[in-house]
Amino acid sequence: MFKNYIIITWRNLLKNKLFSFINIFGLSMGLATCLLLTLYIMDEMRYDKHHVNSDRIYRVAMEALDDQIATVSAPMGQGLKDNYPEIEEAARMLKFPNIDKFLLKNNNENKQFYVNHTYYADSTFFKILTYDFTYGDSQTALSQPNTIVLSEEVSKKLFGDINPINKVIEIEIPYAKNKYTVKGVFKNKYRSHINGNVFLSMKNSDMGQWIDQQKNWSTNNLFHTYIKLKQGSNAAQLEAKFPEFVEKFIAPDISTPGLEKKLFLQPLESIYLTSDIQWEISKNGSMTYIYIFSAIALFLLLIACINFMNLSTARSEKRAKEVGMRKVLGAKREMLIIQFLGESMVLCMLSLAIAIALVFILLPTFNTFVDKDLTLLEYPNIIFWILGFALLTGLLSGLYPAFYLSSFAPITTLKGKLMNTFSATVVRKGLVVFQFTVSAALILVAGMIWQQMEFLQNKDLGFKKEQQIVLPLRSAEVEGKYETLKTELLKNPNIVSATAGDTYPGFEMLSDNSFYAEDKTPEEHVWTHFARSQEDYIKTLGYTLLYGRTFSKNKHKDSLGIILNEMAVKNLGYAPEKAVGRKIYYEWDKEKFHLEIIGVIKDFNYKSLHEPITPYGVLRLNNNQANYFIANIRDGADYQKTIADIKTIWQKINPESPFEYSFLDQDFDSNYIAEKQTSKVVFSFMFVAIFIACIGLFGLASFSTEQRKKEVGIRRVLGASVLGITSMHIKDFLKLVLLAMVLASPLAYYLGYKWLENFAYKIEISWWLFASSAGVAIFIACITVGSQVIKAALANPVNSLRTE
Amino acid sequence: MLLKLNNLSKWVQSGGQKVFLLKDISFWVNEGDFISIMGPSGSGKSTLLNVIGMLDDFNEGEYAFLDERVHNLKEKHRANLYKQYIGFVFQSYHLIDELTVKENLEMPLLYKKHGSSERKALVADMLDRFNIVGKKDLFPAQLSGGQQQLVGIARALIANPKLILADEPTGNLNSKQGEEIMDIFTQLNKEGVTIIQVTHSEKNMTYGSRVINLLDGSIV
Repeated sequence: MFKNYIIITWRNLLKNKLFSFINIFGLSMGLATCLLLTLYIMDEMRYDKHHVNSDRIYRVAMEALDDQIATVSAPMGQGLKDNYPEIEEAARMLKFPNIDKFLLKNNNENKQFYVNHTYYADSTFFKILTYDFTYGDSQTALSQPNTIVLSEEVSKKLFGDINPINKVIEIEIPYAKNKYTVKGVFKNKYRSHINGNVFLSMKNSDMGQWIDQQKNWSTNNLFHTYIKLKQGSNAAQLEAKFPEFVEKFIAPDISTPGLEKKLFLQPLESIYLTSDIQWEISKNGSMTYIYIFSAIALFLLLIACINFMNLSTARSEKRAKEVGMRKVLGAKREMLIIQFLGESMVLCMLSLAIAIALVFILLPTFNTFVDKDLTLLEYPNIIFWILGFALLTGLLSGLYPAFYLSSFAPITTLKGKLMNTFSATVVRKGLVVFQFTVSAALILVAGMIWQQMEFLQNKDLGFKKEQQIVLPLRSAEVEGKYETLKTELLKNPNIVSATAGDTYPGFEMLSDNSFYAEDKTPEEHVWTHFARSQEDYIKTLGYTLLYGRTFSKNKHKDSLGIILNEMAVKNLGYAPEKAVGRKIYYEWDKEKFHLEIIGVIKDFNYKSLHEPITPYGVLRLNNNQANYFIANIRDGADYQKTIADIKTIWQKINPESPFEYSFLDQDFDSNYIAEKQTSKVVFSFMFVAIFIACIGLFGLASFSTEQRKKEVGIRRVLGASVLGITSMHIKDFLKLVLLAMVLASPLAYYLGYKWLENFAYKIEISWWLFASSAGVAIFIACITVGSQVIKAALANPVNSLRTE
Repeated sequence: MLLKLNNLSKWVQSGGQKVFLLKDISFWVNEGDFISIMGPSGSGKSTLLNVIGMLDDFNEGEYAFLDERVHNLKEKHRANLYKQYIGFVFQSYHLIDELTVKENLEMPLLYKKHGSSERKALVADMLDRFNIVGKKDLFPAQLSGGQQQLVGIARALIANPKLILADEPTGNLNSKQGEEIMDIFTQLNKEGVTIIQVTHSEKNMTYGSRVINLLDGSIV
């Protein structure tokens, strides 16, 4: 019996090659996209699940001024542990502010290079968090001063394949140069929101002293603090005790009046997907994108299944005789259901094989889209997912046809009188509408995303984003030579202007403070972010100076001067035109200090367009501790040559430090990486969706024309024109497509609106987007259906009538 | 007695009125009979045949098959009954296009849970008996009409039914092929198979032992 089913399935496949192809190829596209997105989602869901007892590990985070911050002050970790016995262990990790890369040197082999994601960690760090050590003991690795733990990649780069334990390397940061002993090497095989490549001990010659001095509970909130609870302790109960802790320890150290702070716990496992607060270690994932991608995956699979259902039921007439005969020969309905379900399962398995091949082909491209390194068999349990998908698809797409086909009464089918019943036609049309609704919604959302991305790229931010080259100043050698570097570079005619600062637009601002104006009380303060800069900062970055002046060449003259943006000035209570020369105040350790406004600049977007403009200022650096050298390149300059020139000068001045550079506009746009990924994914899957829906429509159109062959013949004999017949057929399908547009519009509007809510600056959703999307959908549908219909209309009516 | 019909009627509702397809039909069939049902187009011949074959319902009256009261049986039992005792032969053969001759013959056996070797033996018997061994791997479309009907009859016979219902079995054939088919029916009847055929042709009628004439749904 089983063999008989297989034979029938196979011969039917071969008999209708076009429809088999549509079915199988459509399904494999759906399955392949589903698999790709599942790989992505599984990878995202895997973060921080590997830690031993991960359900007992939490990060301590803070809330102040409506902002949530992932870091707390230095004494917090130990303080919490001392006060609450339910905490088994606490560990701090410090991401050094504004230094994104450390220079690592193996002097014996003369190897040196920059490494990012380099963090200081307490000796207890590896007791709480699980890392897979290849060499060394994780429990004691950081217990000695001046010790270091490396990832396998870094270790390989420094030492090759040998065991590097107890070897000594040198690490250079702008402030210091120090020797560290390697005490551990870990495999980078787990996914974690802590993306460290190198961990340095907290107690060491460069930072150790400074960290030990941090006794204040409220300032320098720089420490990512992790705690592990004892077995059986309850995190919520612990959290409930925090207000009292804050009252006792933190409140006395808060210098800004009226400022309240709160502590809360974040479960380790959910940090990566759910936490998006200030001072994350690096950009986290997002549940929203998991939802978006899951929805796309599901809908694409549904669209492909619908093709299958539609084509199977549309073809029912051809199978009806078989059904009737089988019933006459004694088949029960259940047997027929099993037969047809089995058929769809076989088709699904075939599609699955093709889908897996497609995944292999498409995975590299997909990886570049989502910036990941996925491989098909990275997780063994993907096999269950794959089989699950295939079975689900088989069931989904086979169930309706199976019940529909097996329901025919034998005598009607044998008389050949089976017409497509009204309900079957309605279901089929409904499914087509659903397919096109999904496709149209994807077209619309993709359009909105595209418009917003264009807007982000092209909006005038109020400063000069283009033609700025940024040179990170990461070593002590480089920092001391700022003036020399600047003088030498400005001799190059392609460099218009140059400066240095501790930050530049698009970067998270580390420094902020609360200021208040003359005649105001400390309660009426204005939180202001600020950058510290050398001279020419305003000029080089192209900020618009409205009133006053910029910094002078003399460092010390302007050490109390500040340049504020209009918003800061207005919020403080000054009129911008009269603000120059006025004083602003702040408090530090209960003492009052002041600064003087020397200039007012026009508001501009110093943060990504996700966020609105807030009060901002620029201070004068009184030493050489700038992190970035910024040079403005002349319009029309030859970039390649200019960069080569800069490199030559750099290497002459800083022979010990490798040359690295970036472009400010690219750095700024890196704030939109998540959006760019989404737009690429949405765009490519929009095309897949349209493609699948179109081949479905094509198949259906060719069946409907086949069915109406006789009608077309009669109409032609009676004098209908080819054009008339064509438009009559197309109209049927256009109605469905238009209905789909009507359904898709509000859906897409809602989704687009939700997505745009992420931005403080955004496009208006315009009516012409809907109009043009409708145009595209109609055009595609017309082409798909038209090709079939015209063929039927042009056929000689005698032939079609003779078939009777 | 193989089957007995008593005052059987079948109608459809059309515009609020009953239109009778069969009206007050009563007759019986003994084992070994060869009955021809005659009548003009639309007289209800095929409907009657379908009712006898239990492929179609009726509205009123009684129908007993081998002492089973068909009108009281559930769908499932009825299906079991015709599956076991009745073979069908159609005017347009109704072979399954995607299956070869051999596979078409095998199909009724598949639904009756015969073992694989038993099926092979029965199929081989049939191919032999109808002299179509050489055609066993051909598809229906590769056969002439007469050959297709031969396969159709072989398929109806393979499960060893007591009754064969043939709906214009020669309607699509030329006269020579028709004669061959009718000879086969005669032969089968001699071997003890009961046959009921619906036919238009006076010539075919003569092969039968009894004739039932229908007009507008009633026996005349």
